[in-house]
Amino acid sequence: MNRLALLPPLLALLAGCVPPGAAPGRDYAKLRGEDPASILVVPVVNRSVDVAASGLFLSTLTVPLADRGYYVFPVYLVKGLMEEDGLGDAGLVHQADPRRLGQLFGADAILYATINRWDAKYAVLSTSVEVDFDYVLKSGRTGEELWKAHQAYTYVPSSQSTGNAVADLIGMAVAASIVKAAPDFMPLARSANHKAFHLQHQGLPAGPHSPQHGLDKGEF
Amino acid sequence: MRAWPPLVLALALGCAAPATCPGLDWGGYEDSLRRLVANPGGLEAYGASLRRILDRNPDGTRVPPGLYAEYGYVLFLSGRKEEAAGFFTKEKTRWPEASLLMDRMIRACAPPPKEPS
Repeated sequence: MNRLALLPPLLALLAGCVPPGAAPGRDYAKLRGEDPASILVVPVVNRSVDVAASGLFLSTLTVPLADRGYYVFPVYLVKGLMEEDGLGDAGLVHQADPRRLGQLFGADAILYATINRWDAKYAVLSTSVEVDFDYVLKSGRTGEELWKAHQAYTYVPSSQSTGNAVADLIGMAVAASIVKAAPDFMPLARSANHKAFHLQHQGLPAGPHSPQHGLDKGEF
Repeated sequence: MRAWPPLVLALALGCAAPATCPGLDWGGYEDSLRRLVANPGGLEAYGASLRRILDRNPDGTRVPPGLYAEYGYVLFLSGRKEEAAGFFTKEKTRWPEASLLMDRMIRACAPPPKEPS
């Protein structure tokens, strides 16, 4: 009898260790608790040597976030207003209080993206293209971090298949641009964003404008 | 030849994506924005591209977030403030999440009060 009485708490403990459908390594409690409907994408901090990278990368962020079901503030208008308000420097914007930005724009959450690498290395035998990004989503109400992701891709042209159809197709797109001696980073940036936002148990749960909103708890 | 990499990439990504796309009509928005970023003097072309997307979605149901507002801002920068206010209102109606910012933009479009004579 006594042994049987121990069973329920023991089972509860075991179940607590491995809840069904749990996201390994990712806690969505804060994000789900706030359930943001709108995301303000602020100018990108650029740690690469390519001065054009921040604007180009910024232009790739709206579509995947909106397709995930969130309202995304118009980035060109936001950039213009921030410059008017003395917030033209991406580094300063990233250090500013997220609650101030939340109030200023009426945004539920703010996405801070950083470019760590955006490089092409030219060599006689092989040229490589490399990107590395950090994404952090903070609450516009409390300023707390709700979600973050890191994505890095290196592409080295090769005549051999990688065995991964998506990687091969991205590779073909980049290879076509390398031939023209002007590497096109956009396919890698788009692919990184797609993975950051969509990857199950790592990406963003579907927002309020998606039919999946509230139904994807087993995946995120 | 130039058209295939984006096409195959879109196909590849489309296969890997969960079905969460709410059916918005982006109509080349990202490319237009990229061109504007690369050439900040290309505001007129950006506005024309946005206008094309809006014109083919007259009932507004497939207009993605931010596009009415972005077109309104292009008009605003061109001094066409009355028309701009109309597009900021459309953004607010289509996407209520933008209300606070759009109200601010609509106020910025109002003519300055007349000086007492």
